[in-house]
Amino acid sequence: MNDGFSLALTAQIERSEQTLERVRRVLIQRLKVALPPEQIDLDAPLFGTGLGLDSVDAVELVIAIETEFGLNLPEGTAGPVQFRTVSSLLELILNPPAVALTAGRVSAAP
Amino acid sequence: MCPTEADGFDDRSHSNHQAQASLTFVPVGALQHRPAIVVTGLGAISSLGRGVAPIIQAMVEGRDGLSEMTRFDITALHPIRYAGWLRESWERREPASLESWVRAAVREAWNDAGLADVSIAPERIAVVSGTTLGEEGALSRSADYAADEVGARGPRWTISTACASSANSIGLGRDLIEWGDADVVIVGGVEKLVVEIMAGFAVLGVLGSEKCAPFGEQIGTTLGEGAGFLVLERADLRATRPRSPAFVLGYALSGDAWHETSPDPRGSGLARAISACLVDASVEPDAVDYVNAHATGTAANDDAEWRGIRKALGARSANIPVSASKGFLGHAQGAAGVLETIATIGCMQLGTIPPSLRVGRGRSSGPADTVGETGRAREGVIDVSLSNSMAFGGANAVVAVARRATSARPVTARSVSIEGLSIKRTPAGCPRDDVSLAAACGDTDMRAPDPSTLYAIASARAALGQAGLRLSGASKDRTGLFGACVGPPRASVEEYRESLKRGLDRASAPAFARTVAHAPLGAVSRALGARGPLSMVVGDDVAGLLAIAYAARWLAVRTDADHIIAGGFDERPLDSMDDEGAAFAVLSSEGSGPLVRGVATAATLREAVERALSSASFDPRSVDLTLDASSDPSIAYGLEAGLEVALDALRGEARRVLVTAEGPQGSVALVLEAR
Repeated sequence: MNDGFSLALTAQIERSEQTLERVRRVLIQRLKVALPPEQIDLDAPLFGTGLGLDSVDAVELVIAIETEFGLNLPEGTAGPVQFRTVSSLLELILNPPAVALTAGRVSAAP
Repeated sequence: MCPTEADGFDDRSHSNHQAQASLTFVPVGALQHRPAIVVTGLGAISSLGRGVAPIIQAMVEGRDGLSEMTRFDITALHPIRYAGWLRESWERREPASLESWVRAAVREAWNDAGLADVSIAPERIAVVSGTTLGEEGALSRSADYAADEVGARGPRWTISTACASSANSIGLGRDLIEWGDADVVIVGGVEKLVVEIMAGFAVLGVLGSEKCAPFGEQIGTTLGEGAGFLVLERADLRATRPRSPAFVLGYALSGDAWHETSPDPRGSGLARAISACLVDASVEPDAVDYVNAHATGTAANDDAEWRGIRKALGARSANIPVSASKGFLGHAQGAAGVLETIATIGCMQLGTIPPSLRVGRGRSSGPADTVGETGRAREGVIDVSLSNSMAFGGANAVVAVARRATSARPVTARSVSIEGLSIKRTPAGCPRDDVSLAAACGDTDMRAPDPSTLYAIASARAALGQAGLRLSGASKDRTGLFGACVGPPRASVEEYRESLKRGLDRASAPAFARTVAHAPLGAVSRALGARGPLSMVVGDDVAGLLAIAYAARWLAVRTDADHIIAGGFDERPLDSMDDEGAAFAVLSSEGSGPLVRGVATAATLREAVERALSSASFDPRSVDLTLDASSDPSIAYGLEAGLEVALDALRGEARRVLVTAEGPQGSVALVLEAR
């Protein structure tokens, strides 16, 4: 008995699952995370002890996400908060900030 | 003013260079005295102008050489705009030419040394040049230009450990004289800024939007460029005293085994290099008057470096002047170490201490005295100075320079043996087996390793296994890594080039970090935890055996390492099926394998062989077998045809084997003996 609400919910869940798959693929192929996709959990920290990304990868991650999802992440919208875990990254992609005129980049200063 | 006693000069007029003793391997255990090595000439070209004088003048006046880069377009890197680039000559419409910079600096140093009208046998003049990029990726060309400028025909070495390159070159030059390979050595380095390099540092996030202020509140570095060269000679062989001599007392190298681009935040790697340098120089921490820091201005570097200095100098660090020259020159990468040593010597001769610029109130975690109060050189006497260099891949180099020669630590030669050798090679025409190569790297945590890195880790790991060595704790600090290659890792260079097509500000930082020639060696150090001396020799078919020779000598006379994993690697061009692979040997100071009894590098093969045999006190007729390690352009193949066959023979009937290599860079000979 599907009502409109659960239909929308199902669609949203499907969309996040597809996005998660794409994020995992980006992390493995573009950021060279040496893990099988199923081991990249939603709550895994992207940097440091989690998936092992570090300051060197910060700009690369922004570029990879922008390219994969056709986004333009303005300065200041893709930083430590958004890049904390796989889940927060997913949130950024699903609800991207309003597009500004300049291309986005974060500081990778070690 | 020249001191009259213990200054290293021999007042007897000299005539016969060959008659002078040099360090040898045998008799093992015998005490050998080391000659004092003096810097007789300085030459430089930098963003402050042509010559050494403009650098010192600018430091006296507190004026920098940084300006907005206009030689190439970096608007995409906004707000980054400054560099310590050679604006003046560019505005005079002189092309930015690595060759002319090398020649100008070498010529100045040569004339300064007063050697322009002195006749020296060309075969006895060696060159050691350090560079990250060389000329469009041709790394060993700067040494060729330097040699050609003065007609030098002795061995020509190129060191490429990125920003530690030229500091390592100064030390190696000292070694070549001590070992009797040369009487005069031209040492230094060169770097030319290109847009690709600026983009790489920009995407790493280390470039500041303002002029850099090492140890200051402003975070971020500013790149530089230029060339610097010194002339080194044996003090006792100089006919005339230099006006104001400076002595190379010692040097040391180390590896952080920490990260591709960031230093060990604890500063441990640098601290080990400083301590080892002081031992090599026979200087106590309290006798150090001044430290010229690497201090790039980034948060990662300056904090870690200060921790390292504190660790090594202990109580002396409380009030020692520690300053940074990069606020004046920018970060000239491969040329940084030598330009900063030149600044130190120049100020030392003037009775001043080199200053830091734009320190302001300074950082909370920085030196108490950055000589930054006015931005101008301060009056003061420096007798003993240290110059630090810290590079990508965790490579550190520290050089000690002083106004007087100390009574150098006499050395007792230790026996050196080869404990293991492993070759991982893909012959020409065969496809690379990535799966078994990765398997041979074991449980090493790697992200995106290029073929050079895979071969190097696989081979070095297997060599350690063969030697029966397992590195842990203190043995990690005492295990070094000396590598050789023809150029930077090809696949990573290509990946970085490809990424630049996305735009300068969107270049791949991870790929950039892997484009330095010694990046695979840094990866090996992290994989194995080897934190001892780390060096990278670049060149043609001779490079592999040079790395082995360098390691053997290091272990024979120094006390800061027990093992060195030495060898080299090559990576076929992307569209070719050339020979490729890696070959690494484990050399040990207290091992049980075949002994390295003699080593020499020289202009000609004949001379190298003669000197290697005489340093071993062997009759040429007692050699059972002679092998050529340079029969093929592949470094891995050369070491297989040379060293591996030699070790096999020594396990059989052969007692004494000679391994040689010969190429445009010179010749090298190694004498091995069975136990």
